[in-house]
Amino acid sequence: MRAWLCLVVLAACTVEKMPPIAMVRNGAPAMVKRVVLVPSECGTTLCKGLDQLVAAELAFRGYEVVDLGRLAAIERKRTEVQVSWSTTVDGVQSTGSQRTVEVRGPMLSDVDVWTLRDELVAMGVDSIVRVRTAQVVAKPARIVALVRVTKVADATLVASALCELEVGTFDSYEEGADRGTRCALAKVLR
Amino acid sequence: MRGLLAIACASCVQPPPHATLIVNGDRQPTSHAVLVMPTACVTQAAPTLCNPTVFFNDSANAVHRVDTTFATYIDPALRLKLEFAGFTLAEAGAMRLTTADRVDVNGDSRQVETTTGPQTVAELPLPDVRGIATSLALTSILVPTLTIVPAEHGMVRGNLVVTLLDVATNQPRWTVTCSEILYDPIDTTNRLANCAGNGVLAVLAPDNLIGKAM
Repeated sequence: MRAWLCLVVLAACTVEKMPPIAMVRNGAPAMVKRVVLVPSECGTTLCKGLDQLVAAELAFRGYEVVDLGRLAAIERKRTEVQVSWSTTVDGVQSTGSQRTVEVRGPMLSDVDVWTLRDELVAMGVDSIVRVRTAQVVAKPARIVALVRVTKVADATLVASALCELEVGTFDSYEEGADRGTRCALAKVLR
Repeated sequence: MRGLLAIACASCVQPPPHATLIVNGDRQPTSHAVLVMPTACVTQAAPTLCNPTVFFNDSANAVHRVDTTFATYIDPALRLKLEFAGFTLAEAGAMRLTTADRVDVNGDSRQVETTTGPQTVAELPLPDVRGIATSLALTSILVPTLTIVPAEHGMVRGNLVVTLLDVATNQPRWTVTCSEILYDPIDTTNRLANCAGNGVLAVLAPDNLIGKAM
């Protein structure tokens, strides 16, 4: 009986997690209307996914979100090639076609840093949003997520929130990063 | 008996490294925006030690997908803590020097470099980086360096030194140092990054070090 009880307690310890720790810091009050999510150096699918998660939430809350990957830096060139063929073998005719659409030209995510700076100002972007996640190797393992909003003009802080949460034995880093980012975003938007 | 077991277990847990922060009073940061370089690795031991994959065998590398640079394990934690300490970081590795072309073919998108040579600020030597920082009105550059040195009993030690350089004078505004035996190249470097970040938080933004449970 005692052994079973110990086993249950031990199992509970591996799944029971500490509540998340949140820290919020606000800067001087500022009008935030049009924001850009500057992609971080981390170009992994996870980082891109978290950026999209935050962008979607901000757009839902009424902020204008500038997506650098969707805006063309200059007029792009579109080339469309359609190849159709028809063959007859032993009196049997077969036809087919292939269409290739190539669009060439840089998007705003491809431009140099000086051009990007000027474009952001020209578009009236007032704030930059940055999403970061990191692992804290400890026992138990933890994940920290940060959402930070700064002014474009002078890089001063508008608001930032950090959530640190414990990840269980059966949780992946991606799941923890997702929960941490949602937690930090909720604190920033509050 | 149980006490002995507890002591034995406790001795297995590596104590956290201590951060040493030197702040140069008359060169405090005047700007919130800082150009940050990726963590560079130098070694005073075997040259290959700057590649984390050499610490594991092939099967472990495949399972854990070990990266070939320590920056992968240091930069995320370090940058997150520094940003929460109040610095706005402009990542040199994400700042393009030239405009690349983009080719979308039937929905598949790829970036095509139009020039050879360095593509991002991170690939430039420090004097050139200072020039670019000046052109972007960034007055400081953050330079993290992991130095691997031989340690006792045939082990190696990792020394993480993070320096905030004043662009104009090329002198450090502050330097934070954390050091630890490299028992595990991934875990230990992550601990070093957290150590350095917490050191900066503790000295420059102590209010941000204390959390509150939700």
